[in-house]
Amino acid sequence: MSRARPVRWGLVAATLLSLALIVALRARQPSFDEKTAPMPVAGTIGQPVQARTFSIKVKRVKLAHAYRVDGRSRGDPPREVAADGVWLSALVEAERSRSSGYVGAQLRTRDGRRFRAAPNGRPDLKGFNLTDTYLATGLPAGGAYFFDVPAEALDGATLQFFDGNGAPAQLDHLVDVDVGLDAPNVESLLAEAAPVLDLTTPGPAR
Amino acid sequence: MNDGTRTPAAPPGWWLRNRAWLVAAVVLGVLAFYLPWRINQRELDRQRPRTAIRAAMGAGAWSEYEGARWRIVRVRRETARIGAAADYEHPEATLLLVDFEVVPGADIDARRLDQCRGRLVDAGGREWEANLPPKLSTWMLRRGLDGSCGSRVVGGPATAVAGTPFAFTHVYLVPADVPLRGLSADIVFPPFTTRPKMGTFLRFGLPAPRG
Repeated sequence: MSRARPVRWGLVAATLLSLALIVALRARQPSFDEKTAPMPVAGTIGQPVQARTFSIKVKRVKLAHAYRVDGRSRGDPPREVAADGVWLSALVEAERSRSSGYVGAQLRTRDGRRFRAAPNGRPDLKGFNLTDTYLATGLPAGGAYFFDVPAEALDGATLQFFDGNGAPAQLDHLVDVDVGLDAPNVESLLAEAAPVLDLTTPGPAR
Repeated sequence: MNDGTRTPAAPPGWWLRNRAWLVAAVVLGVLAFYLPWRINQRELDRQRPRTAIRAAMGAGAWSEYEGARWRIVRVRRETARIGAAADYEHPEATLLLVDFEVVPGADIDARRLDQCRGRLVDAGGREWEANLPPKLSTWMLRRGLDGSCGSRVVGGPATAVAGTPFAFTHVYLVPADVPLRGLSADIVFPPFTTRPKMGTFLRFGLPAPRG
């Protein structure tokens, strides 16, 4: 007659605990996207922020419903560029510090939506609209990024800047600048927003 | 004479008994680190030009690279008028013009040479790309300068021919206060195309500019 082996409850408990730990740790394991996400670098308005390949300083933000810009050709009348939502412009100083290239920008809303800066031709302000403007290393540029966004998305939004003119690269710096877009500030900016902001070249027509 | 008192030989120790396994484990352990490292190095070479081939020193000295001979003929500098070379208003800047000559070998043609690009690096590791921003190319055309290593458009189309020197210029827009000491001008091909080793580039220490 065979004698029943005693159950080693300590071993069973240790095994179950180990399995539970493995399951719990795996469930909480960050995804590949989370592990390789851009690394945020926080900044505030008026303060220069140094990222891996560039530095950026947001000087002020302004809202407008439309811009008046120069005509496409010399002698053409000025054009109006209306926003689908509202135009937010961010006046900045940007500098590439290690290699020449682009500094990209996007607006991130409180709920995580992202609005890319409007392309270089909208509004068409060569040398001032810094989207897709190639910057030489060590030669800073003063200009602006323009965002066409719904007015209700502004409350709590921040401006983000990154290396390149595509999307923020994984495992690279993503500068996140708090430009003070809280509810009262947004309300006041909207109240001040010009129906048409004149950005035409001063002096004789082009 | 055997008197029956000799002690039997001691059994071999653990290390000795397992020596074959131990040697195999050491070899596999080394390979487990070395092979991924080598694969990673190869991938980096494929992606980035990171192995410099130092150009021969001395005025007019030729250097072999990618089946051709290369040399710097002259380095000049000019003040960059604001708005002439970049679309944005920038502080005081300098245009550094590096005139090259290349003599293609028998195994390299103009199309391949046109894959070359220029890069300027200062002592601190900052980099500038040749003939950029895009507006600089327009400035070069106006000045009658060709920036491609294997073909030209200024003064009628022409291409580099094996055995014959072909001139081209790389122009760099740099801050006026960049110290010229320690600057290097690189000739770079797409890193995955260089032979026999991927990721090589030709590096010239810049002679003092004139003009």
